[in-house]
Amino acid sequence: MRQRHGAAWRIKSTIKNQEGELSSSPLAIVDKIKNAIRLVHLDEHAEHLGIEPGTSLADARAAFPDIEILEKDEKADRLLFDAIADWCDRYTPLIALDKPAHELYGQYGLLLDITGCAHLFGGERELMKDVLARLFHQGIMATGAIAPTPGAAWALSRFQKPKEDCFDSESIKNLSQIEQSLTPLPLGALRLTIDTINAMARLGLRTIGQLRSQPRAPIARRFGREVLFRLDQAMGSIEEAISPRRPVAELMAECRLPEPIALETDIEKTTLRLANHLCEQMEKKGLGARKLVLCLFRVDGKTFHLEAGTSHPERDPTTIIRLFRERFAALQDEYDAGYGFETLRLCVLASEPIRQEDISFMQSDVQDGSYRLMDRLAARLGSHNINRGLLQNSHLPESAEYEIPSDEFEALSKALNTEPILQKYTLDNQSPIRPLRIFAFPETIEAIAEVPDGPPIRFRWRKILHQVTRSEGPERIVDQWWGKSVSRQTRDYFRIEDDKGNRYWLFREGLYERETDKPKWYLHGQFA
Amino acid sequence: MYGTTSISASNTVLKSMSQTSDLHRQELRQSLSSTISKIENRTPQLSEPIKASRASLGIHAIDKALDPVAAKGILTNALHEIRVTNGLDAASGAGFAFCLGLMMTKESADPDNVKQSELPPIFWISDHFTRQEYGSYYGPGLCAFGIAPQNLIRISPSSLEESLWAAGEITATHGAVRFCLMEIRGHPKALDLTVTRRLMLRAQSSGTTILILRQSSEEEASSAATRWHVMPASSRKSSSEASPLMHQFIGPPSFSVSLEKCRGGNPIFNPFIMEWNSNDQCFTLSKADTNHRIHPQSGFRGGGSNRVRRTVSKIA
Repeated sequence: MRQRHGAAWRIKSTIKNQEGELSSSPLAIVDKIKNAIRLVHLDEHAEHLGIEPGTSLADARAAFPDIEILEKDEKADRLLFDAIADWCDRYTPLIALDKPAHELYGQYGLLLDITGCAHLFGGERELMKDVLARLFHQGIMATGAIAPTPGAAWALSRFQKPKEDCFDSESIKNLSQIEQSLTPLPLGALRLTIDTINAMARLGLRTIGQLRSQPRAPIARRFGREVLFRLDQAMGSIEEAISPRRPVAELMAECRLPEPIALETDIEKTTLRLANHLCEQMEKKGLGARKLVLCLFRVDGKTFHLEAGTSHPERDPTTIIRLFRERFAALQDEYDAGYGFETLRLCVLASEPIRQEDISFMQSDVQDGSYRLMDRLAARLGSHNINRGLLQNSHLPESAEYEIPSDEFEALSKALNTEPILQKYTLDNQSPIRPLRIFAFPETIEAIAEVPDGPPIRFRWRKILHQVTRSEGPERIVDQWWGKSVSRQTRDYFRIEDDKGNRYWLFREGLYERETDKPKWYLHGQFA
Repeated sequence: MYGTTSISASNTVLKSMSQTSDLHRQELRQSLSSTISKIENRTPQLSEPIKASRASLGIHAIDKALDPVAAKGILTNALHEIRVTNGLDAASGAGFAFCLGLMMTKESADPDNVKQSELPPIFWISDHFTRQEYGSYYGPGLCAFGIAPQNLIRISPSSLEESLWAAGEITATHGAVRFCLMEIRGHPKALDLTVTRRLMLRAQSSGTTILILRQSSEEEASSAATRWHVMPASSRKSSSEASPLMHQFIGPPSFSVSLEKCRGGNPIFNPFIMEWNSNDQCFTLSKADTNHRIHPQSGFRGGGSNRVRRTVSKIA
């Protein structure tokens, strides 16, 4: 929608043409609420005409035949909102999403915990001005407030009186000021449900001040604990924690640039500087990074998050840079520097202590080299594309081995001793009992057997007829009777050699007469 | 003009060199090479020539064909190619590649003292399509070849460029890798002479073995040190003293192999049958193929196999 109507869609249609009439028709967004199509968002023109959100579409159409209707796109809203939240990362790493409480009246909100961050932007008020002005220039009309509690900030940002300077906002310094500024606000500011607010309105309770003058006990009895809980949260007598949308970094280094940079080499240099700084800090604490994220803030508001993991605690800046270089190479098309990046941030998301023996002279370079190799491969190709096999003690061929991403492998394999299982398959047997290659899904074949339970004499696989010359079997594999899974039919496995010398692992599913009349044949793997 | 004069000058020095002592000779050679490089306007090459390390395949005739001078076997720090013509033989090719890789790195790994799972890992690079078409490697099956499944690191890149990058990265790590097996289907254009040459050089300098397993392929020029053509072979007939039932049984993994290309050695075009003994981790020659049946062809023969020769005769 923003593509067609522009980012500032709400005010576009109020531009008047020469005759002093509004140039375009009013615009409204509709959504299905309780099986009725209702208007949920309106542009300023529609508001000007006196349409209210919550009106049904039919009513609105009857009154204003030229109203333009668009359906609500929840997913796109969400994406935009996430993008804004990403953008706000530049102010503080602690950002929580505030989803609308009600479909009709809800507006998206962001809660930023700016404790200890405000001085970087020249004070709280300046920070808020900066946020609102930048958002405004991106076509997003936002209101904001700063308060000691999330509840109070929520209330003030939505219900405060508009100021002359539209980017200026309310800023409360301490708890005692909260009461004073919240008193005149309506009850809607307390994050209560619509039903509760309506019920209170019937009793004549309309503002927070009126609610506070009432005795607490009857209120709790009548409207539930929710009301007082929300009130206490706003006033600060109950602590409220916000849950940040991204994991909080353990360590962080940031670089704000006077001129945006776009070249990869420049980004690399800046990242190296950040990495140097971080590694110094880690060395002081005796830590090594296991998971890192590089955030790139583009001038136009888009942010990129590049994550890189290491298989061992790492605090060598050049190694860290090499990992990110691979991540850049893997991004290819997704990565677009555009007009450049203005802020770079490198965070350590997870760290582990580096023990002294890890960096001793005894440590072999070979071991070290293989860890770094795995990290580089994982950074470029994605860790899910680098797997190792972990043997399981199971007689079912499908679950005899699991492929596990190699970065998780060490943790998992410690718990399991695979040596005895390994021994089971390396018997003093000249011919292997399990195939070298296996198909993830057994392939159907047409097979002809001499006797119903016997091995096939010829079979057709991938349109080619194979004449069986040797066979071993059957090896009967029955489903796990103790398991809860839907029991499968019994499988009789045969090892087959055809006239060309190829060796296959076939099975017949189902026993004649006991389980099925028409058993099916499958090819599961190939021997060398 | 400048060049010719300097060479004639060096010739006279070389003649006189025969009388001088060895130490003196070396100094002379160094000074000469530096003057030549000065004339040719390039920095003198100081890197030592790469030492060729070889591993025996356990069969004298093949070792001799691979290394006619000392019969020491196959080059280990090199790129080798194994090709399979038919899509049905995919597992045979893979099996032979593993056996060859294990033979070549046997020296580095002491099988009696070290547990399989503690050896340096083997890397297997193949894309998703190859896995779907020919099947993935199966841990229990690998055990029978003497490879612990956790020791095989399976890498699945999304493009050939990425696989080549991965192979390059793997070989750049000195000694952390036992060998690297790269599985490719057919003849992608990106894998040309230059690229294989680069891989070969990497393998030489780092001492890592790289094996390229080409599925469903024809022979193609590459910079690999050797090229093996692998087909499956039927189990050998059991000896007469065994019970007649033994005829039914399937023997150890066996391959019908021909050595199509062998740089610095003599190729063997007649297919011979090799069996893999998983207990001792070695190849054995099938009894029918006694040593004298393997005839290494000496000298160069254009292109090598029957197919190419036939096309040549057609044109003629």
